[in-house]
Amino acid sequence: MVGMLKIGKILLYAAAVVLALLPVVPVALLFLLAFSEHPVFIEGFTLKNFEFLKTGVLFPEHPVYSKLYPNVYTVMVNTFLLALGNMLLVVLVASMAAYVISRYSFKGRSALLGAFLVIHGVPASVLLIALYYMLRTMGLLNTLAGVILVKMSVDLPLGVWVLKGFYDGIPWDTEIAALVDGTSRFGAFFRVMLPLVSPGLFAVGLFSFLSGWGEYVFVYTFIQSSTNWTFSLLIQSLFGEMGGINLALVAALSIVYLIPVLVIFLVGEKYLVRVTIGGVKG
Amino acid sequence: MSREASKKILMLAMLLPAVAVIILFLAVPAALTLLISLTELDYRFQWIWCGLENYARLFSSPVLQLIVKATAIYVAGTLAFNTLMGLAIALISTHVHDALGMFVRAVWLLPRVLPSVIWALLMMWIFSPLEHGFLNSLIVRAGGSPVPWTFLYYWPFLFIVNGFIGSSLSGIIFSSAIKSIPQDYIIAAKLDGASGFTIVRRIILPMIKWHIAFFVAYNTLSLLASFEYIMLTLNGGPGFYSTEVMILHAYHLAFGQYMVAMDFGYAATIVTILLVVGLALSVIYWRVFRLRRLMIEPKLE
Amino acid sequence: MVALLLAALFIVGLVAGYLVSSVTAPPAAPPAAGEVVPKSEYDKLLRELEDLRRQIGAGAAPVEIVITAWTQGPERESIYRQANLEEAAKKLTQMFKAVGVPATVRVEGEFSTASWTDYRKKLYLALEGGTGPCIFLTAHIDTATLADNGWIIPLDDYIKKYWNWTYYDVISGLWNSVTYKGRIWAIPQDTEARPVYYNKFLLKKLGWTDEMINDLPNKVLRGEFTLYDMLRVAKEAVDKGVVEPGYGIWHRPNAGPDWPIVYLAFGGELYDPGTGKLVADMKVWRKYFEWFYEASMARSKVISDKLTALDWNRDIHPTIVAGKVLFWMGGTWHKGQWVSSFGLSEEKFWEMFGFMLYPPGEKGGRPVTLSQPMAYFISKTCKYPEVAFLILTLATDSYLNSLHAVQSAHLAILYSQLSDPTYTKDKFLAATGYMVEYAKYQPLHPKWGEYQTTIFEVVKGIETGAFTPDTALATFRDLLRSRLGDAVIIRE
Repeated sequence: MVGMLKIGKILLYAAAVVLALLPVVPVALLFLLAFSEHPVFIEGFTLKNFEFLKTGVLFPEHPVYSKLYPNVYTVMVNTFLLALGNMLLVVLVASMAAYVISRYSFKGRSALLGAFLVIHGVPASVLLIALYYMLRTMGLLNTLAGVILVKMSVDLPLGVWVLKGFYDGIPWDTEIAALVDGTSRFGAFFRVMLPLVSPGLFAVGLFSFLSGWGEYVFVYTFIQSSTNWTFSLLIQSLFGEMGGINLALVAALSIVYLIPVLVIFLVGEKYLVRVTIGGVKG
Repeated sequence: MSREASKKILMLAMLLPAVAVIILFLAVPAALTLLISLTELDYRFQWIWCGLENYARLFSSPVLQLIVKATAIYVAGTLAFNTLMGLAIALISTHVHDALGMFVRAVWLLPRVLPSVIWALLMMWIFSPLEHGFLNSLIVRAGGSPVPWTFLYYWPFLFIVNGFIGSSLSGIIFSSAIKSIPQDYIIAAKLDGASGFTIVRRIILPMIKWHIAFFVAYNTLSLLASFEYIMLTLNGGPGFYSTEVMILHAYHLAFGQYMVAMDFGYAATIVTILLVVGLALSVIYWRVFRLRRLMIEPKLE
Repeated sequence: MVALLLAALFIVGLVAGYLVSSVTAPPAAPPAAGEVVPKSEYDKLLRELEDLRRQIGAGAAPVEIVITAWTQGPERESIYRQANLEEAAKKLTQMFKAVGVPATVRVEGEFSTASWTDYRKKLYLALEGGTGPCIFLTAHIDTATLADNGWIIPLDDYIKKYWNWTYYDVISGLWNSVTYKGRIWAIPQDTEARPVYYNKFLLKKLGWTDEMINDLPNKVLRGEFTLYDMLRVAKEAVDKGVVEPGYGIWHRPNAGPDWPIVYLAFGGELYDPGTGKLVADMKVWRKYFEWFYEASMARSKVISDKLTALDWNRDIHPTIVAGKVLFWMGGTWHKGQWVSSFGLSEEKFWEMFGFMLYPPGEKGGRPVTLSQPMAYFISKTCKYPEVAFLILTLATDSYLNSLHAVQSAHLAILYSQLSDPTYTKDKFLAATGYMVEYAKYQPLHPKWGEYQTTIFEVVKGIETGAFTPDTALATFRDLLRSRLGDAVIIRE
């Protein structure tokens, strides 16, 4: 009996290790490829694939090819703007809305909450056609601002639900105390509540930043000029053009693209878990 | 100004941006999609009403059966993968040492946070049917011949690609559900001599039934309209509409035509149908899962 | 009182209009034929520029005219499509400087390497929104859509005006490719032919002698080697293990102009000039689908079922350059790509590859190929259409165009190019020049894109085992009816 238990336990732990490895292996392979000497297979180690970091220009020696792609740093800035814009707007709007929903009762409150839940469940892909038409009418096509607005509206429901959960966890007495002291309601919100839900703000902020950083479909659909490209478009375009010729370069670019993601992931993994589950259970 | 009035104004001001955004960027487009489906809107952006003509065209389309079939297979298969893998992750990670368990669940979050193009690129490279694909290069080096992964086994390939993204969600949900099962049940069962498997089958699974059902319902809704990874990898192929799910077909009609016909009106019919189905399902879930009880009544006034 | 004011305004308007028009009046008719005198035209331009200078006034701030231009590859080798415009602007600025007109002309814009779908989307969106570039390049096939939507200006008058500068030199057949509803809408930029390349090494392995190999294009010309003969040879190669199954005949993996060529080779017609509608001759389409079915993995195993899922640059070009494919239904510019981007040396190309027209469908038939000339268009919202046109004129020059032709392996558009040393130096262009005579164009019709995409989808279905010739034909008919409605005449 004890022997069986031991084997069972070993198998269990082995399974856990295998399970843990499964998602990591592809990413590890990407790293190996980025440093590979051979452009298509994994061989050796070199830093030459990262040469574009010096000036941001791809294929700098070639007089023609160097003009065909936007500068990597321009692309990086665009991606950063999208991520940052999304993060700031989502945190700003969601923090206020979630507070009101958590603290005040009003007509249509449950309908609103229900709407947020439903909207979060259905992907934004269903609205692409209408959004394209609307952005075009508003003159926001081919602009990062348009993409940020759309992205923000997609991430908002989740942000509201998660923050509401955090607000719900703070006892009402805190606010009563502040109000009794003579603070205005807005003051109570700004100076007392917000700091108390800062873990939630942090979580939603991280999530929205990552969400904007990795966005592809909206950028691909709404943006046409290559100067407005984000990293996702650059990599997809290069993978199509040289996926069989110089995969290592594509991998190197991907690593550069991935660095903020990995950093945020390592730092804020706990928060990301909270956000993932918060969007479903509230 | 009375306190009551100033309170109301403050509430409104803080709530308004969110509501405005939701209405402008989510509710209005939904309604707009329905309207567009009744027109011949295309790349010329002219509103030409045509009633239900587009729907008639859709229902007599030679490819309708194919896209519905593809959607059904995609949703069913990915859902199965997500649920089963999620259960596996949850069961394994909750039965090992806490630190390892948390690590497993955290690591599975990685594909989800990766930018979609990177994950798609990786999968396409690893499973490429030609010699320079990663798996095939290993096989060739070992003396075999390349396996046509994405040509023959395209549905399993898609299930894996999307499954790794979705399993993290189910894994986390099921794990937290398992963790909240009162330990007494488990201890009692162990004292009675029940084996691990029996405990799982008789106690754990029944107790997280609600969570599994909820996840299945929720995921079905998401998968109905998910297409990003399909587009980035197989893009509807490899054969004649083999993996062309409904929402992808709508996208191709609207944004992917070789001569840019941009058939918005026709594409919007497919999307409207999906929206209606999604809405209906949501309402059903609302009732069935009594989601109302998820909404704690407010504490303030 | 009001009536008087209106009348006064009207008279002022008349006078102003007369003054403006007299300043910008077009020159007299071009000199008689045989008197090719570019210099006199240059002098005329000088005189007009003098007028302009007087108008602007001495010492006035220099005017910078910016002409936006968008061009497309997608292959990088075609970068001259953009570079030649920039060069032309430099020439124009130089002319202005020589006369003392305080104006400079600059071309701004981008050369795109995106897919045709993405480039067209970007272009159409901008044109539709009124923010399109002044000059843009696209395939001649877009003419119908662009003209019907009123996004471009007809160029007949300008062409007549500047006829003796360069337009007399354009190969006359090319004008047909940009003529729609009786007017000329674009200036041809290049043309090409779509040959069938064959791998000489692999043919040798099959036992062919050098004479047989070199005579192959001639046999095609004489109608002695048909599409089914080609199929037979490919099948033999597969059966004997000279090529892998599925590597006998390869074609493009996506939608594009090549799809109707085999239909044309079987004698089919695509367009009815009487009604202006597209045509689908079902008897010929049956032959077409039967040929592809026979070639598929279900029968002769000559065309791979994976082909339509492959990627151009990742999979197809490297495989052909590696010498693994016997017949490649490609384009002349692929040779340029192979040499520039895929590591094939010029000598190796001539050793390994031969090229011929598409064999006829039946013995004694005429071989065919298809050309899809690229053309420069001027959008309606261009602020300086005549300056833009001047740039196009200066770019349509034997030397500049030959630079493009040689680099990207496209064919000449001007008669004088055929004796221009830059052009004639290139062995490949000389060897493929004859193909232009056998070239057909795709019909100019707004619904052509959907017709062509439907062909591709059905072929994809046949090759991946979803269709037999009967079901393919039925699906094809259904799709055409559903997508084109009465824009297509279906002949049974």
